[in-house]
Amino acid sequence: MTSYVARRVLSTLPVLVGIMASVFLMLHLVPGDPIMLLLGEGGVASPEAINALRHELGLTDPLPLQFVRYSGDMIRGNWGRSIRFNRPVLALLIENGRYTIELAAAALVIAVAAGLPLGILAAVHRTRWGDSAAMFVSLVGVSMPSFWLGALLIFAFSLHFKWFPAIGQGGLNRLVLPGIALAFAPMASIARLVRSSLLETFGEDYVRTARAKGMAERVVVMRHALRNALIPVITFFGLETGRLLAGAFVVETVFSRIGLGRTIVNAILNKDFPVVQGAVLFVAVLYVAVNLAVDLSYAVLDPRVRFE
Amino acid sequence: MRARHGSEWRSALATVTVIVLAAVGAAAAPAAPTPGGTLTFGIRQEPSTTDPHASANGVSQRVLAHLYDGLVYMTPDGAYHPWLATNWTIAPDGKTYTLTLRSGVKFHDGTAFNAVAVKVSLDRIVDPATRSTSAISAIGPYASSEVVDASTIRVHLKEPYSPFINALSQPWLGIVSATAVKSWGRDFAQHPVGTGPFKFVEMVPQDHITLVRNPDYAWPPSSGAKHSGPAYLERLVIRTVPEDSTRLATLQNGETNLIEPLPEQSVAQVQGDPNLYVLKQLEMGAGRVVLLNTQRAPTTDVRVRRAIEFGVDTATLVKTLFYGQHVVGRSPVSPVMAGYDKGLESIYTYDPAKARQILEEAGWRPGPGGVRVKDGQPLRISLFIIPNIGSEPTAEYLQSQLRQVGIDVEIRALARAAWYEGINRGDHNMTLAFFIWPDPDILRTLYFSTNIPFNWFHYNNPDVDRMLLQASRLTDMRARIGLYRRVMRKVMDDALPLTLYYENNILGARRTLQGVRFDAVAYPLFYDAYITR
Repeated sequence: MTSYVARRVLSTLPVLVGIMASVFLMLHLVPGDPIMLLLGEGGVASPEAINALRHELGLTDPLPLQFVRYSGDMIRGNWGRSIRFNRPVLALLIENGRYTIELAAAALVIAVAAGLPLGILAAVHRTRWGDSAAMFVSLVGVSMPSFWLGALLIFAFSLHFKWFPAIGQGGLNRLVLPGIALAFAPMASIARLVRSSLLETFGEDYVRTARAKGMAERVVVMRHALRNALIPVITFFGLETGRLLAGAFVVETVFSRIGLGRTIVNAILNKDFPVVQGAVLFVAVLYVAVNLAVDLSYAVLDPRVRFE
Repeated sequence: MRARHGSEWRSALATVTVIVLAAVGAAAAPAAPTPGGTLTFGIRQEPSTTDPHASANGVSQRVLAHLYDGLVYMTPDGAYHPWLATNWTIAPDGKTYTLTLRSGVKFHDGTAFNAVAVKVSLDRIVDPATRSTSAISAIGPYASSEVVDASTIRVHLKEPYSPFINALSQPWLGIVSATAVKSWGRDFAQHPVGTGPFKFVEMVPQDHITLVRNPDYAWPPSSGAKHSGPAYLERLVIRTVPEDSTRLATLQNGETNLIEPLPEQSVAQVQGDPNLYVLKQLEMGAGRVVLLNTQRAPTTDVRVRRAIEFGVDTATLVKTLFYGQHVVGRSPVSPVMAGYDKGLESIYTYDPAKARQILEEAGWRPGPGGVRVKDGQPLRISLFIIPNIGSEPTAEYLQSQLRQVGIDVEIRALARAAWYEGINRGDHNMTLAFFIWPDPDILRTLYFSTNIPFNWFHYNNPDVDRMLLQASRLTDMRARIGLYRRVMRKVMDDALPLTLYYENNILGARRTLQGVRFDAVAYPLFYDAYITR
C-alpha cells in the first residue's frame, strides 16, 4: 500500500514540471509585447517606465535562465505580484480560490445528492416511467448551459420570489443558486453513469446469487450492486472537481461571485501576466492533487487496485 | 514627438456626449434631500485601481471622482471653473502656469491640502515607477512644479500646451495626500487618501469597493455641485456585476439602486417599470468610429474611402442594433465637444448609388459574386476587431452594407495584443474604436502623423500636423477652434473617419435614488445624490 501511494505521488512530479514549463512559456508565446500592453494602452509610457518593468519582470535575461529562476520562485512560494492589484499572487489566489472551492463543493454535494438517487431510480425502474423521467431530467441537465440556467434561477428566485440574493458570496443563502446552476450538468452526468453502471452490475453473478438467497431487493441494490457501480462515478468525480474549480467562470460571472475562473479571465483581459501564470499553475496543481486523491481512494474502495 | 494624449478606451458598448440629465418620465417632485443611505452601484467592468495616477481605466473614474478633487472643474458646457485652485494665470510663453490654491481643505488623513501636495501629485504622475497611463497622457509636456508658498504653485511645461487646464480637470489628475504617498509608497492604492467627498473603506477585487462619506467635506466645485457641505449618501458601494441580465435583475430586486451600463435593449423595460428610471447623457469625444487606413491598399485611394463613407447607413445601424439609444452623426467629434461643426454632418450621407458610381469612376468594375474587380484584383478590405466586447454585430453590419456596393469586407477578430500590434503596424484597412476625451486636442491624438498608437489612419499630412500643433499651443480657445475646424474639414474631405454614432452613457436607477449628475464626459457623479424614503 505504501509503495502504491509513493508511486502515485512520484508520478505526479513530471506532470508538475511540465505544467510549470507550459505556464512559463505562455508569456513568451502570446502575440504582442506584454510590456507594451501593460503600459502602452491608456496612453504612451516613457521608455524608462518600459525598461523598469521589463527589468522587474526579468524579461531581459536568456530564456533558460528565466525558467530556472521562475521554477525556483514557484517552489519557494514566491509567485510574484499582481501588476493590477500590486499584491502577492499566491495570497490573491488563495483568497479568491476559497470562494471557488466553496462553490465547487456545494455543486458536488448537490450533484451527488441529486444525481445518485436519480441514477438508482432510473436503473431500478429500467425502461419504465421512472427511468424515462429520471433520464429526461438528466438530458435537460446536460443540455442546458449554466449561464442560461443561472439567469433562470435569478429570475425565479431572486427577482420573483426574492428568496435568495442574486449576487455576491459569503453565507449559505448566496451559495444556493450558483451551487444549483453549477451542479446541474454534473448531476445529470452522475445520474447517467450510476444508471448504466448499476445496470451492468445487475447482470453480475454475485447480484444474481444475492437475489437467489432471497435478499431484499433494497439490500441487493444498495449494499451489493451500488458499491461496485460507484467506481466509475468516483473517477468522474475526480475529473469533474478539476473542471468545476477552473471552469466555474461562467457561473461566477452570472452571479458576480469572486472566484478563480473570474480571476483568470480578468487577469487575461487586463494583461496581468503574473496572475495568469499563477492561476493556471494553481488550478493545475489543484487538479493534480484531486486526481491523486481519487487514485488513492480507489485503493481504499477496491482492494484489487492495490495489487495491480 | 510622442503621443501627448491617450484616449479613454473602453471595451464596452456605451459611449458619447453631454447634454442634459434626462430623467425619463420623472414622477412627482422628489422630497428634499436628506443625509443617509447607501448607493449600491452595479457596474459591468471593475475599476482597475483607486490610485488616480496609476494605470486607471475609464470606469475607475467612478471611484476616483469621489475620493479625490481636482484643481479645476470643467462643466459640461466646456467652461473651466475654480475648484481646489481658486484662480490661475498662464505666462505669455504658454509654458508656465501659476495656480493659487484654496485654503482650509483637508485630506482624509487630516493633513492640510497645499502646494506641496500638488507638487507631489504632479511629480508622481511622470515618475516611471507610478506606471501612469491615463494621467501621463493628460498631463502632456509637464516638466516640474515649484512650491512658491503654501497656497501657490508654479507649474513648468517643456513646451506650450493649452489643454493643460483641461488636464487638471480630469479625474486622473486628482490631488493625493503627500503624507499618504510617502508612508504607503507602492501600496498607496490599498490606502488611497484624497480630499474628496467620500473616504476609502475597502476594495475587494472582483467584488466591490466601499467608500464612506467624508463628514468634513466643504469644498465642492461651486459651479458644478448643487449643494455645499458633506455628501448626502452615507456609503457608496461600487459592485462589479459583469453579466448584463444579472445587473438588471439586481436593479429590479433592489440589490443595487443604480446600474451602468444599462444595455440598450433593456432601456424600454426599465422605462416601463414604475420603480425605475433611465439616466442618459451624450459622451464627449470622437464617438464610435471606423478608422480607415490610408497606407494600405485599397484604402490608400481616397475614392475607395469615400465610397465606404457613402456605403454605410448609420441611422439604420443605430436603430436596429442599438434600439435607437445613441445619436446618429458623422462628424469627427461629438456635438458636445468644443469646436463641433454641424456643417460636417452632411458631407457623407448614406447613398449607395453614389458609392457605386465613385467606385466605377475609380476603375472598380462589377466582378464575380458581386465583388468589384480592378486589374484582376477583387475589392477586398480587412476590418480588424477585438472579439467578445460587443463589436461583432457592428462589424457584420458593415460587412453586409459594403457588400451591397461591391466591397468584400473580411472581418479579422484578434486578441487585444495582436489587434494593437496589427493596427499599429498598419496591417488593417479598417478598424473599430471609440474615444472619450474632454478636449478637442483629441484630434491631435488621432490625426497627428507620428502619433501611433491612435493615428490608426496612418495619416500623414504636414499641413494638418502643423495646425494641430499650433492649436495645442494657443491659449485662446476661439483661435484653437478655428484651426480644429479646418483640420476636421480636411480629414472629412480625405475620408478618414467613418463615424458611426455618438454614444450615450446609459444608466438605470431606482426611483428612490435621486440627484445623480454627470461630469463633462458623461461619467456619473454622486456628490449630490441622495436616497428618498
